[in-house]
Amino acid sequence: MTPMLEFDRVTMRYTTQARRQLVALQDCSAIVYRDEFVAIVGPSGCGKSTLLKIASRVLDGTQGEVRFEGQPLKRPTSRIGMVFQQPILLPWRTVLDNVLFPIDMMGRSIRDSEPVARDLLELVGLAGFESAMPGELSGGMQQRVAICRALVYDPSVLLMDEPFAALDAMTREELGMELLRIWNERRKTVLFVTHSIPEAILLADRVFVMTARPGRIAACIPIDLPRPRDLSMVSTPEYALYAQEIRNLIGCGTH
Amino acid sequence: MPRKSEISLAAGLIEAPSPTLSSRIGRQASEGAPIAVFAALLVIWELSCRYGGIPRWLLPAPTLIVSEMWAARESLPSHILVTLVEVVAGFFAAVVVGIPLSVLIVLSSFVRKITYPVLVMLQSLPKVALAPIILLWVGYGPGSKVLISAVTAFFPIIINTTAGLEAVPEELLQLSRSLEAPTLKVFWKVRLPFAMPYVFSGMKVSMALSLIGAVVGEFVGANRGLGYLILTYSSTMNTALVFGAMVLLALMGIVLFYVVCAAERVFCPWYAAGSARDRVL
Repeated sequence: MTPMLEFDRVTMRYTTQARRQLVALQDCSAIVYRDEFVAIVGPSGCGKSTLLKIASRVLDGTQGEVRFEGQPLKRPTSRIGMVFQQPILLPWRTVLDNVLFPIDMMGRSIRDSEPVARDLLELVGLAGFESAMPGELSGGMQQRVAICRALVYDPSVLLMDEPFAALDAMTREELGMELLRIWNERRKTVLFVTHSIPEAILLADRVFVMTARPGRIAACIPIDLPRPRDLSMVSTPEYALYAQEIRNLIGCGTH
Repeated sequence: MPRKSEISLAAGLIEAPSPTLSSRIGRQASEGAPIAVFAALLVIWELSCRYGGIPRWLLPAPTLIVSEMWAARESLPSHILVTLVEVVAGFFAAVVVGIPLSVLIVLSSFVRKITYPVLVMLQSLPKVALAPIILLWVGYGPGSKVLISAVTAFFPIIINTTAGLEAVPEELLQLSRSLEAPTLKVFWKVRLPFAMPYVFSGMKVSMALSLIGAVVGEFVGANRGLGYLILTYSSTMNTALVFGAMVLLALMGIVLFYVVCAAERVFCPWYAAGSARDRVL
């Protein structure tokens, strides 16, 4: 197993307006291996999104280092893709042009990538919507477009910051399964932030459990459920044990 | 009891088509109502002037206004043209200076720091107060009116464009950075299109303001234009033509406003379509 993304004692401190020191992240160390699906769970405010921002280098940590394929990562790179909580598509571009947005911004040939974009849209069940405008799509469909946009330039790592949090429960489960299917087809290293413990267990190879104030990685729990996964696994005893273990670690299972 | 429900059921069946009919009448009425009210007001105005003993120099009847305007049909178009040119030129000057300045303000904190105090000071100053000084500096001709119009129309453009350029979701900028996109490209392909709806709502306000500016300029000193006509005709008690010039100014304002709306639909159809949908809902 080759390490893809390494966090080495990443610490993040803020100074609040009242001049108080706030420690968002404290000595977070972890390794994400190639083609691994890692979920990060934790209570809100534990700094899981901050960790993701530091991993993508759009935010600089106060201390510590992030290594990408063994090399220190200094600047944002197109080898790391991003999906956010909101789809944030460009409302003036068609679905296809939104998927091709990264290609356009990187100055690569749009014509070469167009078949890739069409394949991705088909993969997420949006064939036929290529020339639709984002405003005409539902929230779930928009988030599918955003996932296609993150995959079209084939980054090796995908950072997903609560990508399904704004969706309703059913769409959320559906998209989770779809994400697994995509991940299965085009192997990627995925770092998936969520506040849903069931979602984390169902999707991930390993779950990083974070605790709040200061944000730390309390444990990395390997999930040995067989793949391919499906929603029926939620009712298995192993699944319940994992959920209980994670709840105990976060400290919300005791009361 | 079953009898009663039978009756109400039957009544419901009979009455079923009527709500849609009445709602259709209601919709036609709601569309026709403004016109009817406007027409009624005109009639009341006309009648009270004719039979109410209101002197024509105080309030001329609508028919008198129209006939006086018709009598002045030779001279009016040139005055309309003068004011129209001033308004449009002032508006474009505000846009051409305002948008690039907003861009600089957003892109450079240095420009922001040096321009903001000046802008705030100019903004808090009533533009009417500037008119005499501008006239003194630029002269009696149309140039001073264009400048007064531009200064009056300037701020909504600046404020809205700046707000629009800054309204781009932070994540989108992060994504652009992760794609290692050149700053200029991010600006052209992300920031500017995002700001367009804001720019257009600023332009709608500015168009109305530039009309005000041009008329203020003509009030302060001019020998042509609709503002000049209002001033001269009111001093000679030709109230009918004062009203006539006002009607022309109002029409000009409406037409120019819709021109901006049409431009908005051309330049940001995604936004215009969205807002039209909201209006229907």
